[in-house]
Amino acid sequence: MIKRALTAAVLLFAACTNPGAEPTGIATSFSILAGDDATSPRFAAIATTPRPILQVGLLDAGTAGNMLLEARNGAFEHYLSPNAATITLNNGMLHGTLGLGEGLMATDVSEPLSAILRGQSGTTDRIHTYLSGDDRTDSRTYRCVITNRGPQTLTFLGQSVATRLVSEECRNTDQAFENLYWVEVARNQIVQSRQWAGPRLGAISMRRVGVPQ
Amino acid sequence: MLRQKIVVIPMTIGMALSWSAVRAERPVISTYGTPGLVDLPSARSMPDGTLSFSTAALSGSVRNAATFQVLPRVHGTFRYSIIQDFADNSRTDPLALLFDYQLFDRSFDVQIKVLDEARDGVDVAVGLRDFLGTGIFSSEYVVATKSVTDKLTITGGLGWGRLAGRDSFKNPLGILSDRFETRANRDFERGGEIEAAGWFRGDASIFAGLDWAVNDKTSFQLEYSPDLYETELRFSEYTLDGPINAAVQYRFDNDATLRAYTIGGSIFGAQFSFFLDPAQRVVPSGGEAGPRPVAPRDSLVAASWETASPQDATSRLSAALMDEGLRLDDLTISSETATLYVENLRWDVEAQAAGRAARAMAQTLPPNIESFTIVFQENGLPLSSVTTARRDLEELQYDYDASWRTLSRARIDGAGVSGEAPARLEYSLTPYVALSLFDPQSPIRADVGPQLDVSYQAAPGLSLMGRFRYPVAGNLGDSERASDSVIQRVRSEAYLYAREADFEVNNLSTEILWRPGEETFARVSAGYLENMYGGISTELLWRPIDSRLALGAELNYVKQRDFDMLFGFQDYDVVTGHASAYFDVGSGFQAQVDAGRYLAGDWGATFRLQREFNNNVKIGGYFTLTDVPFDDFGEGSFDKGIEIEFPLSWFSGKPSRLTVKETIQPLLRDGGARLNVDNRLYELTRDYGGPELSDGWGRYLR
Repeated sequence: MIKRALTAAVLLFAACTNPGAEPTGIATSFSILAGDDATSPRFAAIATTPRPILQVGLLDAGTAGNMLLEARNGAFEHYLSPNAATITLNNGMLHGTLGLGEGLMATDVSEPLSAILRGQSGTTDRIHTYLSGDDRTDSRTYRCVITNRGPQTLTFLGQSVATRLVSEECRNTDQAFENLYWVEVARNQIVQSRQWAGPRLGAISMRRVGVPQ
Repeated sequence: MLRQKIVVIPMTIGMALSWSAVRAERPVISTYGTPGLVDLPSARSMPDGTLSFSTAALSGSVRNAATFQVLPRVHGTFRYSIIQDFADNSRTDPLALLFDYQLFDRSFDVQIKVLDEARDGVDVAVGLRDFLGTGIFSSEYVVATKSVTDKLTITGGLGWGRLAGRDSFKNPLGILSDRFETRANRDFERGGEIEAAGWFRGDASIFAGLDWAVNDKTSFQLEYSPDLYETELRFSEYTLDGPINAAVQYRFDNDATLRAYTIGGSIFGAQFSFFLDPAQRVVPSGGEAGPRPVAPRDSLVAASWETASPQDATSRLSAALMDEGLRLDDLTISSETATLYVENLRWDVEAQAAGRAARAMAQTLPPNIESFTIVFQENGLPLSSVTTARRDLEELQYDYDASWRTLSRARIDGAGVSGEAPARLEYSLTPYVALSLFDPQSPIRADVGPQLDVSYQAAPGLSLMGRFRYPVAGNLGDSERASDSVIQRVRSEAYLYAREADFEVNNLSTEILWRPGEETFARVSAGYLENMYGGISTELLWRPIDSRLALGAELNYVKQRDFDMLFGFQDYDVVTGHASAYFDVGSGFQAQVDAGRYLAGDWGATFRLQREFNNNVKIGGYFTLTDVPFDDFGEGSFDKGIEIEFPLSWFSGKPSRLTVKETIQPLLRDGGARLNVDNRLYELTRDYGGPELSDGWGRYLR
């Protein structure tokens, strides 16, 4: 009720400005208090056409939802959530995520990616670049051990999919995490994964679902 | 549009959101709000840059304090205390008890660490408590703190002034000079002077204590304190039973602490404190939408470019920019380059605005365009430009080191001297809150009501603007204290404006901004410039794009407005103006000196030093010395204050040009007062300078 009243107040005052004006101080303060979880116009615009979906679970926060493929650029896929948070995948490996509370700007996962897709076990490096609370970027390197865990069968939209499960155990002096990848044997693509995004967000589960039938 | 200032009470927000990423060692905070034990100070410091806030209530008084670790070895404290029973009273009239016999006291402390335990085996610090205010807490000390075990820390020291109340002995500094042996009483009435003459004078006492941590959460503090609480207890029903103070503290996961304590075994109190690291935004990377990908050019629908007119490109780009809170002023396209004139309405980090603008250009401009130049403007005044090769954006958008690599390839220039912008009308009707905090009679005063802002930009740099307010409710005009100023009352009658105005014309003026040369900016403003003054204001600023030094000059002729804040003027007029130097000292410190003639016709200078974090949190202070004698200035002796400013996005995680700013100024008096004119050039242009743009580059691709 209070939330609704606050929102009404915000709308009232927001309506009294010229088009294109940014929210005022008081309106912004209200929206901080009232919370703001409206669907972004950017999401609404792409939600009108059928698109590949990424089912996402934020494992540490215990929340889940679907994101839509906004753009594809070579090996990179850009997924968008209703509130315009983004996840970028590089051949199915987490390349970046913004707007979910973790500023993972980019990664260099070329070494583990190559090992995973070739089905090789071994030791590789990966680099994560984070945006700090002081507006600087901070790159960290992790040393990872990749292990082929053998075949697993998943069920996607009622169909069985033969995959091989690969684990990647990474650590540096501060952090340690384990990523899991399910690689579809037929197309040699990561179709499902659990990947660590960073110290704030923790692990994300992701499953790429094609265009819904 | 200059960054608007809004004011909220920072403490409440801080409390709700206080949070830290990597926890560095944070000390126990004393009831005085400084690193310490119960009442006593310790030689500890907080991690560099940390802010702590603390409220300690005990029988008959409350101490609210904020401490800032200015440098790794220096911290400063501002304290606002409320002391009941400060004067004798008959206790018959409850209202008199509430309003007349309370003391609202502001005081400042500073402590400097001389030895560091990590290097020297023991922390040793020298401190001054309440060295500026009326002096009720006035004391000085030398203190040493050492960790005996992981859990036990001991502190001991030598105190003067209030810390020499019990078992005091002849000042050991008396060996140096006899004058150390007597301590003069503080000039209570006036306050505000740095009373250096009294420091470390008079008798001294020993104090000591310990801090014992049971575990990560719970700890005990025990101390022997010489403080007799004479000021607080003189007219109070409470008495102090002995010299032993004790506290038990519980520390929450976010390092906020709750304490229960006793002073002398007979007075009891409770304390809450928390820490805030300005270098850590609440949501470090922000909660805003991720940027749109830079699409490969072959995927852009090439066919549409064949038939599209330049107007189509402009309107498509305009829409994409508006979606990002950027307003297109003009677009010029020549064979391979596009130059965009744009005003940033949303992004507090200007480099991020540059990144978003470049992406919008990459999405909408024809594939043959190779180079993007983004010229940032304010009110049609060009400030600086960022040029990026389209190829670099495409190539580096997935690079893990893209921030550095794009910065090294981008070119930041001073922009040309002429701006481009269409005529434009803007308006907004919003609520406003005018606040006055920590005044000596009331912790908080406020007026609220609707506010109408209208501005018409007739040509680039030429604007007409108005701001009108109608206070609906509030108590700003309630101050019972009439101005006792003996010099020209240029500011001290603010309460009369608040009282006598209904519909307020806060501003009704015209402004011209232009660039006389590549490295200079100029401004002329005329009309009703601010609440209390109208007239003409002129300014010139020299600020090369990549310089650490900027120089400015301002000359104004103004007349004092009528108290009703409409169109009339009073008799007083003055020529006022300053020469200013702005210097980036390095290590995040920014210095400013303004020398000249102030509103009351007094001559002098203002010195300002600010620590600025990379995310634009600013914490600093200033003081103004003029030829008005301290006695004529009145309470406070000279103008000084603490300034603290946070980007609103720091709290909200949403980009915004709004900031939360508070100046804690002892009193609004008439000496050292300046005209409050909008759009002073340094403030207007600085954020778009080369160093500022580079500092924010971490968010260029955010």
